[in-house]
Amino acid sequence: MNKEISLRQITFMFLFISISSVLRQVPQNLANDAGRSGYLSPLWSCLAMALITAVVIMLLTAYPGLNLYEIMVHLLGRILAKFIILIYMVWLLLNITAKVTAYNLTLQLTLMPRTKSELFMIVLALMVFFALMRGIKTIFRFSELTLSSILILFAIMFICALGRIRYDYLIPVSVTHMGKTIYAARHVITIGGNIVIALFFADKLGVAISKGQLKKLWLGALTFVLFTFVIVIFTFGISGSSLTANTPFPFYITVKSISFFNIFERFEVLVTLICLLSDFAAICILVVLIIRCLIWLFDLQDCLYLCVPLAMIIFYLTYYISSTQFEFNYLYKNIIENLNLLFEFCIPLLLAFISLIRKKKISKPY
Amino acid sequence: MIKFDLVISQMSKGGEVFMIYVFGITVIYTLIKQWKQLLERKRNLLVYLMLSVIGFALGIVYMINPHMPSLSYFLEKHMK
Repeated sequence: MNKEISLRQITFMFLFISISSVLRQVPQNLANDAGRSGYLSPLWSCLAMALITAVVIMLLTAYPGLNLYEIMVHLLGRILAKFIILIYMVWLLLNITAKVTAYNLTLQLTLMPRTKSELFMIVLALMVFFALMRGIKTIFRFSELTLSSILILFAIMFICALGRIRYDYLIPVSVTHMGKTIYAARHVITIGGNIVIALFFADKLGVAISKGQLKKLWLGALTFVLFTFVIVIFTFGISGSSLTANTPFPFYITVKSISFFNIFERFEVLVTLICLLSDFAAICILVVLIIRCLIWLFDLQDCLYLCVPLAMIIFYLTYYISSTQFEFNYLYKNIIENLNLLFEFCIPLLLAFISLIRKKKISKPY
Repeated sequence: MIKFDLVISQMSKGGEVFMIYVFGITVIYTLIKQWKQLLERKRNLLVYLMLSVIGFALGIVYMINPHMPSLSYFLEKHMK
C-alpha cells in the first residue's frame, strides 16, 4: 500500500494546528479558572495526554492500515459507524466555523480592526482551495517545514523575555488552588486531543508502522505539553493573571513588551502571523476531515468539488454561531471545549475499550 | 462595462448579501465544470446539490433576517 503521509508529518501537523488555540485561548481560560496558579494546569494535562496518545497508538497498532471509520465498522457495525461519523461531521463543522471566526477576530483585533470579516473569509477560502488542489501531502509538508522555524522563533522570544518575568506574579502557589488547576487542565486537554487526527489519516500511513514512528507521537504529545506550559508561564509571568484573564489575546499583549536586545521589536506581528498560519493549516485539515466524513458517509469517491458548497455553509454558519468576541468566548468555553472532550477523548476511549474486550486484530488485505 | 464602484460599495455595505450571488455563480460554475464527475454516480450529484441547498438556505435566511440572535446568545440565555 502506498504510504502517502508519515506519522512524523501527522505529529508536526498536530503541533502546528494546536499553536493558535494555545496562544489565544489557553492563557485566558487558565487565568479565569485557576488564577495565578493556572500555569500548573499544563503539567496536570500530561496524564490525559499520555492516555489519549496511548489509545491512538493502541488503535493504530491493533488495526494497521485502517482509518477511524473502518475501525468503527469492524467494532460497531456499518450503521452505528455511519451515525457516529455523521455526528463527527457536525462537530467538525462547528469546529471549523469556530476556527474561521477566531481567525477573523484575531485579524480584527491585531491588524485590521475596520475591515469586514467577509474579506478575510474570501481570501481564506481562496487560499484553502488553492492548497487543497495540491493535495493533502502539500499541507502536511507545509507544516513540517514551518513548525521548526516557529519553534526556534518562540525559543528566541523566550530567551529575550526571561528578564521581564516577574516571579511575584507566579509564586507563591497555594495548595488550596491545586483542585482548580486540575479542573482547569481541561482547557489544555481539549486542544491536545487534536492528536486523534492520526486516526482519521491512519489508512494513509501504510500497514507497517515501526516503533520509532510511534515514538514520534509520544514526542509530539510531550512537546505540546511543554510548549503550552512555557507559553502560559511567560504570559502569567509578564502580564499577570488578572490582565491575562481579562484580555482576549493575552499572549499578544505579553509579546508587545519583548524586544531582542532593544534592537528588534514588534514580535507581536510575528505572533499574529504564526496564529494565522496555524489557523490556515487547521482549517485545511478540518476541510479534509469533513470531506473524508462525507466520503465515508455516502460512499463517494474523491470529491474536492464539495469544497464549494461547504465554503458557503461555513461562511453563513459564522454568522449563526457567534457575532461578537464575548459570544465566541462563551461558545468556545462552554460548548466547543466540552464537545472536543467528547469527540477527541470519550469516543476513541470507548473504541479502545471495545477493541480490548473483543480482542479483534484485523489486517487489511493488500 | 462592470461598475466597480457599485461592486465595492455593495461589498462594503452588505457583503454577505453580495456573497450569495458570488456563491451562486461559483456553485453553477463548479456544477458545469464537474458535470461528468458528478454524473458518474447519482450519489455525487445528490450530495453536491444537498450541500448547495443547505448553503443557500442558510444564506437566504440570513438575508431575510440578518439580526437573528446567534447560537451563542441563545445558549447563553437558556443555559443560565
